[in-house]
Amino acid sequence: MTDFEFHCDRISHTFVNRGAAVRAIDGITLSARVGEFVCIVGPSGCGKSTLLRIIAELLVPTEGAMIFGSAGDHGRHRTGLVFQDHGVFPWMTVLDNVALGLELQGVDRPEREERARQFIAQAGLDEFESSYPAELSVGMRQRVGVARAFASDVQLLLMDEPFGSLDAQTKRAMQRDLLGLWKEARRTVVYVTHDVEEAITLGDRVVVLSPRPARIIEEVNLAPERSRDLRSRQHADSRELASHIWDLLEQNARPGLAVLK
Amino acid sequence: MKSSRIPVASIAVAVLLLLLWELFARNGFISPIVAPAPSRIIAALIRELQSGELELHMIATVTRLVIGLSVGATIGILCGLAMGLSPRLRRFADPFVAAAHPIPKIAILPIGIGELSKVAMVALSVFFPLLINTMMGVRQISPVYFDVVKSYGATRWKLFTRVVVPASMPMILSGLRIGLNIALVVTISVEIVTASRGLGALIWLSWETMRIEVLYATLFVTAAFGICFNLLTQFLVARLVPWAPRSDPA
Repeated sequence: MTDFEFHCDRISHTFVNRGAAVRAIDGITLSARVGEFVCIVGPSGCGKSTLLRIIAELLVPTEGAMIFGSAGDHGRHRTGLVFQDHGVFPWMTVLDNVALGLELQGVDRPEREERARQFIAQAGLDEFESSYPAELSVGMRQRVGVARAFASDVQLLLMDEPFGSLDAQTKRAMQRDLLGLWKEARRTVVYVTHDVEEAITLGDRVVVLSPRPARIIEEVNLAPERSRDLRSRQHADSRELASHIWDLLEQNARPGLAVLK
Repeated sequence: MKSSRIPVASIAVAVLLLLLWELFARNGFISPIVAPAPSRIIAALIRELQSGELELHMIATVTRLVIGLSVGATIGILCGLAMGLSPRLRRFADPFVAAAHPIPKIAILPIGIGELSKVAMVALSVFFPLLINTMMGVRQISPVYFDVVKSYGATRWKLFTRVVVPASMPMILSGLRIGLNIALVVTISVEIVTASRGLGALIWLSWETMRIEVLYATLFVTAAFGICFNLLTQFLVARLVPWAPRSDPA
């Protein structure tokens, strides 16, 4: 049987904001198999990022429990986070940024720099190894964040709209690299996005969340043997899937937002 | 964007102001008791330097300043880091900081005696700006940075050295720039009140003997210190915050 990477068991989370309780997550039960690519889509502000922080064990949910499978342990560190913004440290050079995950895992300098250089080259940033993020474009900075996650020896990649502000072309290249790495290293990926088409292209499974408090509306399983050709989004069945997910999101949208449409 | 290292415009304006001052002083437009002509001040400056007197006063001032600043800044930065990192400590200590900050430290100067009380005065006045700047520097760090580092399993020490210290460094250095100038003002003020050596002592002595040009020569030296401090902070910023966009120093 396939081993599970993690299991969220009826997780709920309530924040206290200015004295008022805000329920961000409402009873989510979600598992991921080792090596699975899970995409999470949902309206903005629905609690996707909170869910990621809970899976990363940065936040303890107010109800429910996180269970991690030990079978996924290949001696790797468990999680690596990739964010759209702020994931890259302005005070470190590109090389130090990419090597940071390894540094924190205790890999010594020559080894981590060698490994980091490999992924810097893959991200097309060779010439910028000793540049600081302020000297790079937004797209290049995001590639630094992703290269770090790739270079680090982590089992579970948690990505919060990592390619959100990239141009279409760079985005495709990064998606292709991500898929390549994922296939080769058998890592588990949880990928948060608001781009339904992107989710269908990349994921084994798409989890559709409701507006806040986030609940799972539906889990859409995708054929694992399909080609993840990045042009496949033009295919009829994936178009159908996409419109199904869009419908789900729209049906569950708040009335206020529906009126706007 | 890239300007030459020498601020030509600033120097031109300074020279122009000095020339106007010279002109007005020679016309008798400005009384020599209020402000003697720059040429006389500079002559006095050279005379004092040649006699070796001024150097002794400078050494006395710089010694007090360096000791007071090092002690005050170190403790201020450490307290600022601690209060920035711990909300509990911050809630506890903030009222004390708020109460102690506005007290004119010079009021308690007569309590102490000798060198120690003078240096303590400098240390105390540098302590507060560094504490507050460092604390703000730590508090403005985006929590996302902590999340990313923690998700990779960072130790607390790594969290401190790789995130907290570098991220708050720009604020610490701008605190240092403020602190340096406060330290100089306080050192000289304390010397005016009590010391027999130091730039402050020389200022007081010059008043008593009505050697106004020596008084102004001392102020010129103080201004030169100010420029040196600015260059020093710029140097520190370039060394310690090499990642900052290079448009505006400190």
